[in-house]
Amino acid sequence: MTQMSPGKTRKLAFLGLFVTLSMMLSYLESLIPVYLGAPGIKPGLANLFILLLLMDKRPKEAVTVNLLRIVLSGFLFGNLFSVVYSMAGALLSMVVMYAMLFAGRFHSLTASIAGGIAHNLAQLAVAVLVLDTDAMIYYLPALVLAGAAAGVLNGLLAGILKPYLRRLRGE
Amino acid sequence: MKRRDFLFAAAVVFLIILCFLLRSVLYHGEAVYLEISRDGTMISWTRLSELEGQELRIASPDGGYNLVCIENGGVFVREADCENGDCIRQGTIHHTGESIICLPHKLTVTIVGSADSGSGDAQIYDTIVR
Ligand SMILES: [Zn+2]
Repeated sequence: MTQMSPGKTRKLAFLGLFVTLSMMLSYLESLIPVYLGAPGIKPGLANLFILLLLMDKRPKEAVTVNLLRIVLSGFLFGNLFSVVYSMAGALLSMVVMYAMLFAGRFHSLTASIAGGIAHNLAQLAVAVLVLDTDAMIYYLPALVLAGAAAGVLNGLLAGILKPYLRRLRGE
Repeated sequence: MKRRDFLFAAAVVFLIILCFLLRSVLYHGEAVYLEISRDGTMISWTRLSELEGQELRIASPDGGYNLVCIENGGVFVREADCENGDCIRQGTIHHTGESIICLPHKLTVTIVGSADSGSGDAQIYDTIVR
């Protein structure tokens, strides 16, 4: 057995906490009986943790937390469809938020709004492909609006939580 | 927050308003027909008024079913044996353009307006058992 450095242990504990918290948000979302046009499409509140990690310039950790959350949530309280949906939404949203923050030099709140919209549009695209129908296009305006609203919420919360993040990391 | 952030936010607001305006242009008119499709193929196109008060049992190829009810001009799924039951929880749809989706059964139930005459007053195919 190799001894882990205290820094590494702390980092693992930190990531574990983030995965757990984001899974709790995913679970809460799955309980909210709001339908945004197609089953499985959710506002993406777990994006809050991804945004926090991206703001902290830790894209690798963001990817790790995202993948673990989706796969574990899918196993625990979802199914294959929910995994595909979450994956599409989370990945596109993460790429968009990363580009907005670092390539576009936008404010984190703006990046979060763009990420929220991207999250819902990716899920809509998956639904259209899976069902081979354009029926859900009707819900596009509501999805963009809901995505932007979730983005505002996540962006504001991330702004509030960011100072605590550093303390949690022990920096 | 910088200038670009406010510009982006303004663009988002504009886009959302535009989307809603476009939708109201695309999906207008009274709710007249009920279109049922599976996997992108229409299996039924019927006047809502003809279906009023009825229950349609829509069999799916895997042996499952969705029980679609039409009551007071609204459409909802009363029963289904799909794995998540999302189609039941979607509730009742009333307006042109709205649809209920059952992803596991790849089923979409959509209300179509008077403006879209589509395939006319068609028939109910044998996949549906009343
Ligand atoms: Zn269903």
